[in-house]
Amino acid sequence: MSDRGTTVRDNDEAETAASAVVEASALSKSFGDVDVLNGLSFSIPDDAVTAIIGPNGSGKTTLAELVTGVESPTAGELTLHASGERPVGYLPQDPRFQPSATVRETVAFYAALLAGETDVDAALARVGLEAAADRRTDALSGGMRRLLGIAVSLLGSPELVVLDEPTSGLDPEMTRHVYDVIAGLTERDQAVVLTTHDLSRAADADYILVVSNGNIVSAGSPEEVLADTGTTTLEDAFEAAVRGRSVTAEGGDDHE
Amino acid sequence: MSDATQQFTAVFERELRALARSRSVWLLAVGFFALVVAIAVLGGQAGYVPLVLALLTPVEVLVPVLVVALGYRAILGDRLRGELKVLDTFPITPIRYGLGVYCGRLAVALGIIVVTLLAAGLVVPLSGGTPNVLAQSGGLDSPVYYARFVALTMVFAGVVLAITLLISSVARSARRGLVSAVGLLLVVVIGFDLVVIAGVGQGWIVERGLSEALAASPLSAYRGLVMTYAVEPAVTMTVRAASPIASVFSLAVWTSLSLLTAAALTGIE
Repeated sequence: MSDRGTTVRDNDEAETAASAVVEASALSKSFGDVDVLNGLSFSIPDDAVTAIIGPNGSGKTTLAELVTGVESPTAGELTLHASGERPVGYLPQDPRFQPSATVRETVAFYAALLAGETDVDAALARVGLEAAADRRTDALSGGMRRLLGIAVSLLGSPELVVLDEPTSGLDPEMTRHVYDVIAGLTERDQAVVLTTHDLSRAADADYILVVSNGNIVSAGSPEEVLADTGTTTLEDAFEAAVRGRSVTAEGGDDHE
Repeated sequence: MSDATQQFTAVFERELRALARSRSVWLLAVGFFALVVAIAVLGGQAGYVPLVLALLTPVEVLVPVLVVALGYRAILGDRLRGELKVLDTFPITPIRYGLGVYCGRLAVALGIIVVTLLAAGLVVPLSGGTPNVLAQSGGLDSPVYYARFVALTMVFAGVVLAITLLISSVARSARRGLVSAVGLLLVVVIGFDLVVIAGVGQGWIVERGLSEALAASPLSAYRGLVMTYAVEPAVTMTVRAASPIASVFSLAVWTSLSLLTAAALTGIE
């Protein structure tokens, strides 16, 4: 992944970065003439859930893709402190799979790309898809496709799991189930980065990055974001943050 | 099974399964079979070499149509579904992925082509007709020449599929993929030959280098090899076609360069 401006390092390599799974410096991304991300500097803590929140079109998905390593930054550097056969797992915003394959075949295909044996049924049971194992992926609802995408993202126990809107389209019960799965990941020393519009769920995250117009406008624990914006709820903080100023994730103000 | 073999096999089986379950692929196969066998019945009953001559031109068009239809969405489909990005988080190399896709799709294409051409070849023994002048004059008509034609057609299908995968990896939308596929068909079937004709007409391809220039086109290279190895030995006249050595080299270069470029363009690292 180093060709893409992303450096992958083993966890043991840099002691100073032991508490961060991702470190980004002056990270920018443009598509043609459109600047999507503008010189972001931030860290993502290890063994924690980090929520990226922001309005539509703010650059959340692009940021998630840069963190995953499937997109390369136009400028800046992103360092990933993760190791293993599959350092990063990824759930795209709109996960789709080969339509004629069944759910079980899809997970088995991706599992076969990893060394060793994978219990496909256990991977499906983990996200509650065991009853749909023999259903074709083109017969799945949007929510079920997302669950299948989560099952694929978790294969190989990656140290960092990036989930782009993991609960979009899911019913409340399944949303709770997905967040239980996410909570279980951090107990297994896996870091999670998720993008979401669900601010009540984002408030449960350990760390929050608020993104607006390609800038990080606030960053920190939920309490720090509230203090930073002088508000009492994350909804108000979100409003204040996207209306107001941008700050670097290290805490320094960077007024626009 | 090594990791590399396991990964290749996983992609190969995935492609095979996807095509085998597609109704449009079965319709395509039936259409290809019916057309080729009908042409064989109408024009190739006099012997194996006459059958090769009767089938050569239709096959030059129908095989690219079949192969492009089977392959143009292969990598494009994974890109449009976002699966290339997911695959990028797995430890699979672009070469293994590309080869798996290529071999899986090729297996289906070859299955259709071989079954169809073998069925067309049965026309000769089943017709019981008298051998024609062409076969009698050399006295050499043999199923071996037809078998060579089938083998060379398999190679030709492999080359066209490799170029198709290149198109599939370049395309970024379904519409562009379809337009590119149709464009590829036109280029492969008539475009290269037109360039050679223009080159001869305008003098930048000289008579002495014509057989090598012809070999640069995959279609002309295939046609040249068929004429050299499946027709010429059975007839008394000399057949003028693309240079066999240049043709083999050309087909190998087209296949390997197309596959390598297609793999590199997937974005998997």
